[in-house]
Amino acid sequence: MSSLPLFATAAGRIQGGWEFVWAAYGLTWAALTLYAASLWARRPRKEP
Amino acid sequence: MVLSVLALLLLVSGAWLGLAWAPPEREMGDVQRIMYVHLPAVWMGLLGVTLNFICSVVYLLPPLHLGKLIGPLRVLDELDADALAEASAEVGLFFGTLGLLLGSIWGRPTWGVFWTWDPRLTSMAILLVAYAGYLALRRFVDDAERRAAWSAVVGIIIAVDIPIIWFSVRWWNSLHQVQSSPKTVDPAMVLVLRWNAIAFLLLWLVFLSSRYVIAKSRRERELAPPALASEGAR
Amino acid sequence: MSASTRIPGLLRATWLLVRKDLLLEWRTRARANALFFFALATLLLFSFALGPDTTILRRAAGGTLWLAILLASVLALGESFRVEQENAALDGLRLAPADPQALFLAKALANGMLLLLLGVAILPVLGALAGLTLAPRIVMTLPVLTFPLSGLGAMALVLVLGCLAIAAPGTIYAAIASNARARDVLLPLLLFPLLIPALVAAAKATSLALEGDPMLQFGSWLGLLASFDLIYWSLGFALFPLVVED
Repeated sequence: MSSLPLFATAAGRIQGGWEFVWAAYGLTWAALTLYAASLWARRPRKEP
Repeated sequence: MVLSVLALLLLVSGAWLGLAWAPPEREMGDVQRIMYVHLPAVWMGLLGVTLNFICSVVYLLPPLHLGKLIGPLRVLDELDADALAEASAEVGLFFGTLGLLLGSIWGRPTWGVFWTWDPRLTSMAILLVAYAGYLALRRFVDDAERRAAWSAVVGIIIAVDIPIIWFSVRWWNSLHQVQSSPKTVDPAMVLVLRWNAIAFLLLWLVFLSSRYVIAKSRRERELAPPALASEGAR
Repeated sequence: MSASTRIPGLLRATWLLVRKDLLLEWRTRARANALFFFALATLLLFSFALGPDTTILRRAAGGTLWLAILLASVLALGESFRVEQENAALDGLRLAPADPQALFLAKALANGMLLLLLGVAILPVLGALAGLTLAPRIVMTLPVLTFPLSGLGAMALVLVLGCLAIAAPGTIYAAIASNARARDVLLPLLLFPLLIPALVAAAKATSLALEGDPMLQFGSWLGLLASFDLIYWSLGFALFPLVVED
């Protein structure tokens, strides 16, 4: 977006920054999925 | 499991709430939304650490026989403290690492940098390395009994260090300006945070129980009498 | 053992074991020598890595000293149980009437003393490399009283408390790691994160002892170090039997 004042002051606001939000949520979902998959793969096999 | 479905539902709705419904924060704008995943992740990391400490202590004490005190607590007696310690350490490490990375992502637009020697970030980083060491220890000891005893000792030693690390890092960095921390006062934001926190908690429980089952079955295989062990291991 | 013979018995057992370890050290002086040269080499590495500008070296002296001691300690601690390990002497010790707690105290003390010796030996070298001087006067502020120390006295205090801080948890972790796989990497991996508060305190206090302490922080850092020592020597004393028992 426009020039971002990256340090927040009492008067101002951080504009935009949505790419960081997407990065954060994307990372979260990817990590949760991968970890869940690893737990699934490691589940104990029942011996018949 | 019903719990998994519920956790998933809450997580998805929590994400929608965090991303679309919650208002932008007064000072930080939309970047604030990262807090809705960062904080719960950190909390779940700390919860894992706490549970690991409790399990380590419980393992080293003589059996408590809680069931004799209050009937329903019998289910606690049947828990394998060592398996639970292993599970809580790994799940805690996962969430803690995620939380730290998310904090770093939050820091970039807010403070301008990916990392500062802020006491909380620093302490968390040290903690994560410590628990990675704990898990490494578990991997490198083959004897089940020894692994359990030594892990419990290490778990206690690390946990005792946590407050010490916190204070020392705070002093160490006290020369520098303390970074502003987010204040969530808007009730709408508090709701979203709580919603996501519960979602993460449910997810934590799901991960924990499944990791516990993995750890417990491994222990049972290792501690089983030789005849059964050779049958099961194939 | 009745209560009246417990503590003297413990102290006596500890003393005998310490003597045994120190005698072993003395007879195989080569190991202590090698440790000294290792620490020296570490100091040189730091000097080369940080650059020929002695101002930087001087300011980093506190941290450099303790990093050198810490790195050498990993070798020292690893060795201290390897002797037992190779001769299965640990089993012999366990069968002997010696209390595992006496064993802990003895090992930790012996290791602590070795590290202290190391620290005392490399400090003058670091002093020469970085052009260090000791501060003339350090004011020690304890909760109840305040008294002045010479720079040398302050330095000595930091060395003693710092080496004790490494020795206690180091001994426990060395006992564990010596029986695990990948023991060479496991010991530092476990020890380093744990020792960060002690490292911070020792390095800061050392810098103050060298450069002076206008804001009277020396007492606080030393207090942190002393608390660390107290907590970990007690914890080690309590938990070590669980490590060596079968």
